[in-house]
Amino acid sequence: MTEYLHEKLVDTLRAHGVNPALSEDEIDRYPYVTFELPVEYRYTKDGPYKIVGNLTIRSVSDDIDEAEDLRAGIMAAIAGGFGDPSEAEDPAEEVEVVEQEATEEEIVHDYDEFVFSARITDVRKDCMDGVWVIELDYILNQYE
Amino acid sequence: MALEGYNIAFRIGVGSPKVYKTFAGRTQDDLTIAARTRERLTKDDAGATQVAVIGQDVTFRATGLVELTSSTAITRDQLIGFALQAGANAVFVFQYATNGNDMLSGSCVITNLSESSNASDDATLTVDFRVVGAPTFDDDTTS
Repeated sequence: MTEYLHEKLVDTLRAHGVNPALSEDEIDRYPYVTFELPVEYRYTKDGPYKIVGNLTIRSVSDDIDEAEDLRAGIMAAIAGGFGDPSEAEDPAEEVEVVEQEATEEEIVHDYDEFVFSARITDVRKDCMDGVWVIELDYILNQYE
Repeated sequence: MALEGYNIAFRIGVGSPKVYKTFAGRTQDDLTIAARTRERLTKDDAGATQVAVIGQDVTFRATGLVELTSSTAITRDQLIGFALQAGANAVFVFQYATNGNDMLSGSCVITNLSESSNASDDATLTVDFRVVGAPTFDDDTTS
């Protein structure tokens, strides 16, 4: 089973107007979003049946409102792209979701044959030297 | 040469004629052969207890994910149905084999079935079997 959690996550966020970068990328302009997504395979005797990703994604800005808007956008995007939107802790109704282009519906991704789910496990907010960092922890699943 | 765990399969015979099937979502099979012993100490043994093997208790434990659908393997609903059988219907034939190696076969009954489900992980199923009668161990491998 090929791992598509990274591709699915990035596509989902971008569809909601959030452009993430990997944590090791050097970003010098606020606000921005970075993430880490280590994955592990789960097996039965017949082979891998699930891939689990431990996602840590953070919105960073020198403006608390900007950081909160990004945080809300991330949560709305993952709730919509990885599972039942009603399961989101914060549906972020005030966030404007970027409308997808009509042609985007026709795009077929390699990961469309898999089932994805997401569960939020922690939210942390911190401010250091005037820079706000809001970290979200998720468990992402990719099933056959 | 070591043997990868996924090459070991515990199968139950279902239907008529019997078709041997594994369990859907299986993650682990445990085989236990425990000797039944009897101790004897006579004066002629000069204080050294004698131990005789009078038989074996053979048990299996099959653990796996709760799988509700499968076209080739035994599903969770079927297993629960098996566990609720009584009398002669509760006796199943089994095969315990590795690819290209000898196979243990015989009859068994389900002595315990437990399902575990929490809020975050995959639901799992554990089934315990006890072999009844004398199992055979030969190279009639069909796996």
